Amino acid sequence: MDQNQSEIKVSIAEYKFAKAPSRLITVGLGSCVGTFIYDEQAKIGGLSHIMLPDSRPFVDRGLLNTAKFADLALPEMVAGLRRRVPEANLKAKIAGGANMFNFSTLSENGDVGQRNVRAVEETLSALKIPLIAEHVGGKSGRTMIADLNDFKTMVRVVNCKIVYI
Amino acid sequence: MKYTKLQLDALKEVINIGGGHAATSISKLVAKKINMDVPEVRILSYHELYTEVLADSVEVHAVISRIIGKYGGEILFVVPDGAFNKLAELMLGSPHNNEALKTSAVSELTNIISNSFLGAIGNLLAVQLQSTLPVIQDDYFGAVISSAYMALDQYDEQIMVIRNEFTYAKERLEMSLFLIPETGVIDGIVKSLGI
Repeated sequence: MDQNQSEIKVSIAEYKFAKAPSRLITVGLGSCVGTFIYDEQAKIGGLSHIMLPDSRPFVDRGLLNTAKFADLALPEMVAGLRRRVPEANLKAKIAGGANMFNFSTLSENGDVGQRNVRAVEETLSALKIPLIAEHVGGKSGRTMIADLNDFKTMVRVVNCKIVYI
Repeated sequence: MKYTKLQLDALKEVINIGGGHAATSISKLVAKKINMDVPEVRILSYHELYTEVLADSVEVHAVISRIIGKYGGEILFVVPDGAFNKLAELMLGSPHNNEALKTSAVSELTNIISNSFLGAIGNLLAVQLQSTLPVIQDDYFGAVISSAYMALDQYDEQIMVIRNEFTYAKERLEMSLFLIPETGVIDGIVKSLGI
């Protein structure tokens, strides 16, 4: 990867768009999931960092941050991409959804990471966006770097080899 | 999450007492004076936490254990690399290269801190509080802290950050202790203090 590429940081409960030659980066994905959606023709894409699978239990809690939930963030991000490139041929890659510390027994709602991955996969399938590659599960956090030049996605895990998906 | 300044001050005092006891017990153990800074009790967004406390991309040694007893939650130690070696040296009496030995020393240290911290708070609130055996993981601070809150079903982007920092011989040990209460626990503590 070119060291001179500009890097745009996507924080927790946020999504951002970019085009070549930039890179989108999101760090510290634990149980959260990062979703990179890309159009190879226009070399334009978006990266989302969702925290939770489903917004429905939270609708009566006032104004929602749509970027936080898989079921709202992904359709919104895809709509944003289609506004920019109406004939876009979108594809996705995802990373994250770990069960940090093996804490599944802690929460009454089970393993948030796993539920996040499932919700992202289901939402992508409902949006008819093919999921090309994924690096999910396990018990370690990840950093995800999405290259807008070629859809190449780097996944970094602490004390482990860098993986490209 | 809305608490009055008085309630937050009272909570800070509770944490101060817990942290003070923890500092004393490590001091005794290593026969050196360990101090604790005034604790931080603040409601922060993740963004503020990552800009003001520690960046989400920093790789840390995380030691986490569950709190069991009347008030549930987690106790999390976050130790950056440099501090990890310093703490291990403090425990072992001299520098070592054996990673397993260092990890076990730091784990034992945090175990002692957790239990004296919880013991002191428990005494004050007249409840039994203990921590389970810790899990150790090297990971990104962002992944650790967000997952620690979410494991307790705390999904807000605003989180209550309860944090102690320890110092040794005027040198910051850069070890932070985060107390992550289950939902409703803070209300319970505030209520039992009668404020």
